[in-house]
Amino acid sequence: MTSLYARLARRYLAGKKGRSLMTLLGIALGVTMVVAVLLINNAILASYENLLSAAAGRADLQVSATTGFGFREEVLKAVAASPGVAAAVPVVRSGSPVVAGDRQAGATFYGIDAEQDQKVRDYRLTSGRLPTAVGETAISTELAGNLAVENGGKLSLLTTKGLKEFTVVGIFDAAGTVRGALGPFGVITLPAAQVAYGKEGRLDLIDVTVADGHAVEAVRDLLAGALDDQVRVGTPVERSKDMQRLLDSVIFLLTMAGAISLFAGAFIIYTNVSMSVAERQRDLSILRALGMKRGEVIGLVLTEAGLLGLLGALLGLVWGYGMATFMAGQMTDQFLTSYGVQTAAVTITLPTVAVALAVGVGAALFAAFGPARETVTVSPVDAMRPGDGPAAGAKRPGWGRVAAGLGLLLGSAVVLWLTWPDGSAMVSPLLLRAWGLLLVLMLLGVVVMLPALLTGLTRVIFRPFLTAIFGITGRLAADNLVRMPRRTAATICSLMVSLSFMVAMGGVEASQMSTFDAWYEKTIAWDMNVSSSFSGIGAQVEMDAAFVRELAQVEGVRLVSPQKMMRVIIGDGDQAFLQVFDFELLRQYSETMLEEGDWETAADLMEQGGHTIISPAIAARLKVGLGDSFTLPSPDGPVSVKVAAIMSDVTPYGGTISIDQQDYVKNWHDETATNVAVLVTPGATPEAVKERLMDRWGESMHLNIRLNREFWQELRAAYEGFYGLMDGLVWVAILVSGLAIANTLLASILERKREFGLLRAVGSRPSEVLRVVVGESLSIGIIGGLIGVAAGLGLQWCIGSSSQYINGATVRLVLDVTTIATAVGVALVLAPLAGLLPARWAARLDVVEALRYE
Amino acid sequence: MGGLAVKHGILGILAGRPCHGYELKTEFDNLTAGLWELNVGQIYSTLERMVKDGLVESYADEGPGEDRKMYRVTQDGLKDLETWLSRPPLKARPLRDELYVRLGLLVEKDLAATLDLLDSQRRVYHLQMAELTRQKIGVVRAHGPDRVRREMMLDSALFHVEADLKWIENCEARLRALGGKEE
Amino acid sequence: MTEEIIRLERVVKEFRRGDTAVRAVDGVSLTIGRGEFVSIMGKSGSGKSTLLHLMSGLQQATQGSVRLLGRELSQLKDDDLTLLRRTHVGFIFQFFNLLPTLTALENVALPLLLAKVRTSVAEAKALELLKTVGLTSRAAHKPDELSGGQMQRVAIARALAGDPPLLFADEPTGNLDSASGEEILLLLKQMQIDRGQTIVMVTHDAKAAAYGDRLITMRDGRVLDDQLTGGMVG
Ligand SMILES: Nc1ncnc2c1ncn2[C@@H]1O[C@H](COP(=O)(O)OP(=O)(O)OP(=O)(O)O)[C@@H](O)[C@H]1O
Ligand SMILES: [Mg+2]
Repeated sequence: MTSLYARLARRYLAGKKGRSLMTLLGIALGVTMVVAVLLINNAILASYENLLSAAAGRADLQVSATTGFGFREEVLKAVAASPGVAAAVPVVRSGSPVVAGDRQAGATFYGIDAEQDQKVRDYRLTSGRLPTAVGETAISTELAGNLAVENGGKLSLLTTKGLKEFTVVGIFDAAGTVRGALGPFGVITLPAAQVAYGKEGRLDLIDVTVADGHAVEAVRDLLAGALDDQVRVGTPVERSKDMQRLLDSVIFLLTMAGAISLFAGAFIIYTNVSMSVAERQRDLSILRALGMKRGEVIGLVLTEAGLLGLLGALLGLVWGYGMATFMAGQMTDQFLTSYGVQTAAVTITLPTVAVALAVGVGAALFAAFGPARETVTVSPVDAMRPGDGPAAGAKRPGWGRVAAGLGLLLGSAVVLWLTWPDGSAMVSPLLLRAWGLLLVLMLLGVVVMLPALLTGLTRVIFRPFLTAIFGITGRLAADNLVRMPRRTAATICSLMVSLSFMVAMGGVEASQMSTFDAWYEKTIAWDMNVSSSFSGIGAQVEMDAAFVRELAQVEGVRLVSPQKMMRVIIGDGDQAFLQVFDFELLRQYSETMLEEGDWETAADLMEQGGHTIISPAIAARLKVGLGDSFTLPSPDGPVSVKVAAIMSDVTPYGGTISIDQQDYVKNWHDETATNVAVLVTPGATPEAVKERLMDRWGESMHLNIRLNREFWQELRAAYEGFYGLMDGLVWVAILVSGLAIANTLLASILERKREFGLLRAVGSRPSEVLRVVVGESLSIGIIGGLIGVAAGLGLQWCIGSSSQYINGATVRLVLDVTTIATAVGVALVLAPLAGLLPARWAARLDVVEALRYE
Repeated sequence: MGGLAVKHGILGILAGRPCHGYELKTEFDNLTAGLWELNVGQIYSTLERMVKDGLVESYADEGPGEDRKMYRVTQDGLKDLETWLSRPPLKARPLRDELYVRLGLLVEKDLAATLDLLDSQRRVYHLQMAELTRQKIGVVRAHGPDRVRREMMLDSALFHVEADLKWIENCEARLRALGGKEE
Repeated sequence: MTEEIIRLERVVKEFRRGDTAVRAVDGVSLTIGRGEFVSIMGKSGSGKSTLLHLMSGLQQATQGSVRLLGRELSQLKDDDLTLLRRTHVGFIFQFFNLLPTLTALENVALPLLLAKVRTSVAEAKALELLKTVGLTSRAAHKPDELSGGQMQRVAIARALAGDPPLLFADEPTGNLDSASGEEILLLLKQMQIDRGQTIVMVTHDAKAAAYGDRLITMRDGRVLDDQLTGGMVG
């Protein structure tokens, strides 16, 4: 029996090459997107885990700072002395620009105690040894390659006090190690690192191994209890939540894009399978009459679909891998680098293959099941009669479906409304996933009720409308639209989904951009920003106060305002972004964009000290509002600050806190700056001043000076990189739905070839036949466009207004006319365009040929 | 041929109403929708035989005219008619046709002449069919009271001609295959 | 013969499939006058349908000239041909070929609507035609609610909608039982008698062909016989 299935299926598929190809393409595209998204998501997660475990090696626990500025060295003794601790390995680390001769590179440098460090990490030295004295370094083969230095050569590290020279005493092979996965790196002695990075007497990390016979958990709790709250104890792979939030939102969007393409792909499959089934209704019925059982006929159809699904899945797997590899590169280049995440290599795992096959075959079977069952519900006698195409109104979808669809839609809406953030908490990753599910349910609701809705819409709107414009041809177009309401609805859905995705993404992008522009306009008012690093590498080195004072002396400089940016761990145990400004200076040249509170008052308060300006995400996380107080961890212990205002935040780091420099210096005892805002005197041009600064310090300090405009462009580019990626996904989805429309129309034309022949025979001109088909596709475009744009706006609102509770970025919603216009244009142009090819085919149909009965 | 049918046909007509001899011809024509034409001599000889057998009797009609002899059916005549009508089914029609003889003589001698014969015969049948159809159309369009009877008769004729045509086609196909040539 | 409405001169139609060519119509010359009812008979594959398609301009001849109502068809563009068809030619096919989404009335009105006749006018005309074919009561029914014979009658009404001087029928009774078939033929005959309609009908059935008053017999793409049957029984 199965061999008979396979034979019949194979014959049919080979006979209808075009259709089979289309189905295959539909499945393959859907699976491609799913696989790509899956692989990328995995790669992102894997690389993030790499990042965290990189420094840890064999460490069971890690002691890290909560203050964003290391912790006191004394902690090491306490940790080492603690029971259950076998080894406590101190680390100071920094991303650092490196120079050797005329070559420069970015690398992570670790300050280590060579003897201790080898307890948790292996160094496969290819030559030399690990550094034991200040001025010595060992580097990875990769870095050595980048800098073209050999053992015994020299290189310079950019430190807080400018370039410092080191001698290479060893080169090791880092390939295959976790640290190696993070890119080039090198090690220097602990004291050298402390000096170089302005961390005298401080440590960034202690890697801890637990002695045999002790439980990691127990040791962890013990340590956490014993140490003060400037440090935190955790396992290396424990993800910090803000990074997870960020990744979650990226993964969420990616997954959405994948799901959408799969949806559109499934629609193509559905259309083609239902068409092939309808076409072969007679053949299948003959099989039935010859004694094939219902189940067996269904089996036959499903075998065909399954076969295509399998092939499509394999194809999709290959394409998906290619796409993921490409996208991973893009992600790294444009987006993730700034967060210190480098995507790990994209690898196909067994689960990925399984998912791809399951999705491909599953979608094919799922889409085929309905049509397959339809075959056998028709009596063989009816089916064998040489009838005309599908009759009008056959199987009108009933009100039950409308109710079910409406139920799904409303139910999901209510759940969404109930779980909507009220500003007192962030959206948990779990909830975010649940929302994704709700979105799918809502979509399902639309899919379920659309056929009935379509029938109604056609009767009330399209029929009169098209009849009025095109006369009888319009009328026929409208009627054809509801001949196969489910199939048409499926096509509309695929268009709708793509368009809503487009509108939502475009809207969110526009909103975020306009928020960003407004924020930038107000907040970033310096002429240039000076930092000591290589642009694009992401590694920064602090500049000390002496240097800042020297800067102020340069001719043409009117004002310098040192700023400090760092990550800290706040009350809820998660990271936040801490900014330090001298508000007395800051208010002279810029203003902070506020969501709540008044700038002048807030600035006055900030100048007094003891106050803070926070972003809505922080307010939600700590459940504080205007006038409330909370504590920040500092090397001197908790510092209480009072909320002076709530500001807009354009960063997706999970929330930002601003404090005044006087409070920082008082409690952190740190006068270095991550960057310095510089304003020029009225007569001077920023360009000239920049040149002057570069001439003087460019070499020794490796200054990176961005002019106001340049910085704006740099930030924009980061956004655009991300949204460019999204746009790419959107257009793939649109392409797939265009394919779906063409496919559906082709299907309906093939099925009704005789009707078109007849129209021609009774005196329709080719152009009039064209109109029937284009009218049909235009209607599909209009409905898909309308619902798509509406749903997209809804989705935009949801994403936009929940964004600050998901990753902390404030988004002020704007209506993005361009995208909406594009979407409408796509709907009104793409749909008829997709219909044009089949339509031309229909119009050119040889009348006699079309009327022939096989 | 068909002597019995003619005799009982006349009996049947007379059972309806008494008739003149010449009236009987038109009535009989009507009965068979003109498919079975009788000559007057045949009618009178049949009548005479029936009078002799006591199935029909003649009487003089009042009023002017050459032939005032009327005929009506007797009791014996009615009984005879009844038994004839209720007789078991007729024997199958004898299949005799002049065409068979001509065809039989030609077929083995001259293939081309045979085909010509069939061809011209086919034209004849088509003409006949067209004529019958015309009559039928006339009947249908006239909506007369005897429409059903007449249509039945015409249909019978049409079916027979159709059969003849089909047979000729069949013959042609056979002969062509035999001759191994197309035309 | 009265006014000539169709003239074919040495018309050839070849179909190419790969490098083999089939001569479906092979040098046919004939004329058809107004008001004639011409039947075309012949064995399957003898080129009847093709001849009909050539005469009606649904297909173009490979060689020779086809003149329909005085116009040389090979010189008309597709749109003009369509227009000619719309206004001068009615079609009836073996399979009734109604549009399933339209009612009987709308199907009949279709050619008029395509010709941009006002809907009310077109539907009034259609109703009148439905009356002629005896289907007034079924005006609002969709084709799938009609019997084969009824559908064919709708098709005839539709063919007559534009008052075309010419009616082409390709096996109009081929798919019907003999009673329904006769009804259709009678209807056609009535059209000829009462309206002076010119009719060209292809059929397999000698009894159907007998409704015409001229019989063209085809064999292998040629006219084997062209016989007037309008006379008396021989
Ligand atoms: N589109 C075509 N391509 C190739 N050959 C064709 C085509 N149309 C018709 N023919 C050939 O032309 C010849 C005549 O076909 P046509 O349809 O005119 O025959 P017909 O007399 O109508 O037959 P039937 O009684 O079976 O309908 C046949 O041999 C047929 O195979
Ligand atoms: Mg044919």
